[in-house]
Amino acid sequence: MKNFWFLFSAYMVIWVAIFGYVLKLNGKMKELKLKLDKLESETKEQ
Amino acid sequence: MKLSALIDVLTFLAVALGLYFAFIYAPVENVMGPVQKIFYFHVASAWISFFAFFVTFICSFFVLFTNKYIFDDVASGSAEIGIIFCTIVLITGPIWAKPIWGTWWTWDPRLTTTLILWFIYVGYLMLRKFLDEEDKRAKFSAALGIIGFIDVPIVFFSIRWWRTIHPNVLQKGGGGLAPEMLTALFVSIFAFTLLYVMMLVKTSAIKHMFRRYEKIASNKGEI
Repeated sequence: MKNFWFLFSAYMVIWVAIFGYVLKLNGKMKELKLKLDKLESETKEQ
Repeated sequence: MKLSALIDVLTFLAVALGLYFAFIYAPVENVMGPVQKIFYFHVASAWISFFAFFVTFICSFFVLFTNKYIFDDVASGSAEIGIIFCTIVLITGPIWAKPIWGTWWTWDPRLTTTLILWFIYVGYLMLRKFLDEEDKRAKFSAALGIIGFIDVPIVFFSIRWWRTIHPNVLQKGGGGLAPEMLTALFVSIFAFTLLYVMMLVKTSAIKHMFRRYEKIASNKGEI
């Protein structure tokens, strides 16, 4: 297919950027939720 | 099912539908061939970056007039997402341009103003990183969020104001696009709009949780 590699690389850029960012957000959310739950339970115990 | 999970599922389905419309439903363009299919998500990304910066612009006004941090969370989150999509535009554009124009980059008004737009919002995020005081950070970045938006209409109208080689498809009659191509474009714009909403919900939730964490930690004496 003519110019296949250009088409392939453009779509790779799009999905890597989008999925990378969404995965980063999900990871951050999970990490923060854990930290927040831990801190809240510690505060309740005091 | 929680609303955020529902948005995630809908986004996934819409993106899959967008890909179906771009690759199967829309015909192959006669002159450019299959490489023209970059167009559907390139244009959708450009629209979403404009929309994201518009949300930053509106929320920045609310930051200045209401002093509520929720607007600062949405404004900064939207700017971050806008940069992601603007970066996609700036990378996929040259990949498409190389086989069609014969060059990766040219200092065309549309390309140049888009690059300036990217720098403005990268500057916005850098400014936020450098300011430690919450109130100063919110207000200074709100000012930049308002002033920086001036470049968005310049990017949009650049192809009408100046001589350019960039195609103009968003005009009356679809700029010569076949109806199937126009449908595929609208489906990808819809899919990316849902993607934007999904990302904004997540970034806003993160910023809200972080603020709550800092508040509890400072009350406890950890910060």
